[in-house]
Amino acid sequence: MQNLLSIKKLSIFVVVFTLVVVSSAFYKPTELKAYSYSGIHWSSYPVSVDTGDASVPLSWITPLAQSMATWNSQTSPFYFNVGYSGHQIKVQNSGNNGAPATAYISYDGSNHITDVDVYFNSYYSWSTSGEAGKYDVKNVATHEFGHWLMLNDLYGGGDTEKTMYGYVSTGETKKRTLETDDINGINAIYP
Amino acid sequence: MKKFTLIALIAIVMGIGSVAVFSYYRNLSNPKTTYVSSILAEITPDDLVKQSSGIVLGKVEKIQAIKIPSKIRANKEDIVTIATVKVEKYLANSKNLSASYIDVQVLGGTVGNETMIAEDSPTFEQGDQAIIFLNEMDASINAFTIYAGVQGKFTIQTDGSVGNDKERVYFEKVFGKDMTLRELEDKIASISSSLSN
Repeated sequence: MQNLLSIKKLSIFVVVFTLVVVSSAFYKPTELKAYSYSGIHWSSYPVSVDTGDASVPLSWITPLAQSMATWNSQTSPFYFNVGYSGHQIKVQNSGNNGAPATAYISYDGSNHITDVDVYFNSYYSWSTSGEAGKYDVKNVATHEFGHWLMLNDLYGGGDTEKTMYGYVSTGETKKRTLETDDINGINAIYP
Repeated sequence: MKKFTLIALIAIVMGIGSVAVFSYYRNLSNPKTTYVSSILAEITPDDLVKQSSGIVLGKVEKIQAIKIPSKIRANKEDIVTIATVKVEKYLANSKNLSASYIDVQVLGGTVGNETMIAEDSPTFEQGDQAIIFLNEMDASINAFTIYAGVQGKFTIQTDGSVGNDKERVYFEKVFGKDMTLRELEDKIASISSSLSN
């Protein structure tokens, strides 16, 4: 009789344990409205950014560094630095595809980022001074570094002033400066 | 007998649990996932019509994911999904296209244990009716790219409205409001006419 009770207790424990393990494999973090986060993140920092590819104009080095510094100046302990890590910035002609810049982020089964590369599309015209008719390097770079943090693009009517707003126009420079929700994003992901 | 049944039940549950745990940890070490995100150029309806090599209304008959040399990053491969579309009509056709079936490629998909998730890329579902603003033909795989990515493809809903829930956000940004297919066809015709004058 006692053995029977023990077996019953054991079977209940095993069932509950299995349910917990299986359900945890399907857990996904919820998105918040002020910023959009994918749940993927760096397992350690600082994160080195290689801006030394031959395709990157020398005049771009400073605005790229300034874009990193914009995110680094927040209270979050996360930061970027310039190095030779294999996480690269490159400039390449991808044609008239409607996308001035694209970020590729690889991650593993633990949702840890393993590699990031950002490609600026040289089909479009670029400027380091907010020149009319051209895309501003620092403006777009600050947005792209938000993707390195795995902040998603925002497309709502109330998001137009945020750095992570998903559209960009020529001559625009407002993404150079983070808005409150952009800052809340990095501080929440890397508290 | 009861004892045996209980033991058997426990063994089955532990077996299922072990498989679940094993699969979970196996996925941790094996998956290769790349997330792709593009910042989008603000475009106008005139841009969309003028820059497209053709605008088609058609039905998606088949979709398939493959790996191809990347158009964005040199010496690397991307995963694209090819949608075979049965053309119902050409709404604009500056290149005098005449094929009754076309292949259209979009970034993203899964091949083997590799997945590419392209946040700003349109997606296709088999059976959907869609309006597609074509960009260039990729001769290597005989498939068109879509002009302006997620701003260049919209599913036609059963009530005749343009765009599913996700697509309507982009559609409204370009066109300023929701439209029915008929209204969009008229808009395209109007722009095409003004561009040719």
